[in-house]
Amino acid sequence: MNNFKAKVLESAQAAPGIFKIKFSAPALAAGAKPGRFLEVLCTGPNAPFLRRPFGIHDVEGGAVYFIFKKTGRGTELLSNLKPGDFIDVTAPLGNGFEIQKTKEHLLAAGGMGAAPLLLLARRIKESGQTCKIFLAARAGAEIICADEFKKYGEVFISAEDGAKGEKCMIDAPLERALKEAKNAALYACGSVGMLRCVAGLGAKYKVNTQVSLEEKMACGMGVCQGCPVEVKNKDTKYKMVCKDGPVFNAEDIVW
Amino acid sequence: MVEVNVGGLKLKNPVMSASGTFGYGKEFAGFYDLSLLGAVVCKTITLRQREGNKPPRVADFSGGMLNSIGLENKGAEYFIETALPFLAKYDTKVVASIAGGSAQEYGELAKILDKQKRVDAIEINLSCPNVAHGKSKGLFAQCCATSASIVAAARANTQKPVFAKLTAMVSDVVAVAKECKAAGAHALTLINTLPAMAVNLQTKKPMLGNVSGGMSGPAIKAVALKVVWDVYNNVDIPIIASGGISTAADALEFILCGATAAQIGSANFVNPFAARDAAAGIEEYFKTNNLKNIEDLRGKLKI
Repeated sequence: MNNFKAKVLESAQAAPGIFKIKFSAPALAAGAKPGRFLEVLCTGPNAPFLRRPFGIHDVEGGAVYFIFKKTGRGTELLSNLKPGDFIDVTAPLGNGFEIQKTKEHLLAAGGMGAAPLLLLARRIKESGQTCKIFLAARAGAEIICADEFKKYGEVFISAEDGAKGEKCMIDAPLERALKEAKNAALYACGSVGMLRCVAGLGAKYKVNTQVSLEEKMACGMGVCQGCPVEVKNKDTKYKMVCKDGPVFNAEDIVW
Repeated sequence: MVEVNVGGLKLKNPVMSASGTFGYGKEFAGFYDLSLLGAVVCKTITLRQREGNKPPRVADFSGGMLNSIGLENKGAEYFIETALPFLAKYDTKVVASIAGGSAQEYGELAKILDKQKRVDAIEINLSCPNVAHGKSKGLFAQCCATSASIVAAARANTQKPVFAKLTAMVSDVVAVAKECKAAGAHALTLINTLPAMAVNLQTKKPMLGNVSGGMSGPAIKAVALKVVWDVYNNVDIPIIASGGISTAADALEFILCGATAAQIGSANFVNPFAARDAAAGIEEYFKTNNLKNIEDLRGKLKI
């Protein structure tokens, strides 16, 4: 991991309240593994003390993207970034997704959980394979990156409010795909409730299921023990989302 | 080099990491050479492994952060087998931080660590706000007699320098400091995090899984300065300052108020180079101002 100042190249509103930042980081971009994350310092008046963690969203040449929803003062300050500004980044952090040697790859995103899965879809495509992407959210307006994902595979959209795609939760389209799949792996990111549901389906259809978790963090590198997740392990009750994760095998988590 | 002697522990410079904010040094060794620090104060260990508190364990605001880790650690044996051999590579002092449920447990830990060559001193954590303090109603460091009995138990079991880490949440910190000195503490670490809370108005829930936690960061610096100044003026004992120190300037302010050394804590989470830069900055300040040793600045606050 490294700590560096990076130049913002682009800053845009991807959807109402959702912002996408592109910054220059050639070394990080070259080896970026999907599922790993950044800790970004928020600066400005009344900036929160701690850095904010964001999954690596995508790469393009020597540039890296992260995408976030404006939810508090930290993300508000980041949403004001302009091209030419500099951000203080510590990266790459965490472990990342392992692309399985399966015939099919099913990517399940709940809302902002789509963020780290775009780079995963890109990497799967780069390895000469395709994937199926399931984008779900409570409200259709919260579905992000559908067009980008279409470059990498078939996209299935579902929203509980029926404003976009199928009117249902993610389990319906995902279970249909799992029923048909002969040899698949599942990769998911989203809310705990959504991930619990995906983990249940993964267990039911006996497919390798990796989930990317979120927890409030301080250091981001395994120092402070601030971001525990309860695991099924006789030696330790908790593992740390920042260092042992953020990607875990779903079967190892106490849901 | 601004060498200092803290209660018998000689440091190449006055900068230490604060316990709990630096792990056992390994992660920061990826950023810089730990030999640039006066000492590494390790995360507090207990006799046996502790699971720690339920999440969320951290929260923040513009002036600092709160934590309710609950002293999660893998126990003394793991520390000796894993952390100490790693730190052997570096030319810096190693301070082990210990916590227990009774004076007897502190004594046992001191005895175990006394045998470890790589441990240069022991910091007694009497003031973690996130764990039960034996049968005490509050923190150990909120009771003079309990603090003294724990310091005495540690001293009875080790030849190494012993530091007592105290809390600011008392009516008279000078009284606690005096008792710790009388019980044999070689130095005092002032201060630990302040017991605190944060709540979420939208969800109507506490921000921490353990409801309350310990506050640290720049917001507590002013509190720590006052404690250091008061103890410096009333008790003849070396002081290691801790509390909102992020930069060389912060550390120098504490030295001006009487501290001999300074610990960098939460700042490590935000700027991984904070401790290294503070050590370099102090060196620079002494050179620029033609100061020869720590006594040229320590306690020289003009009143």
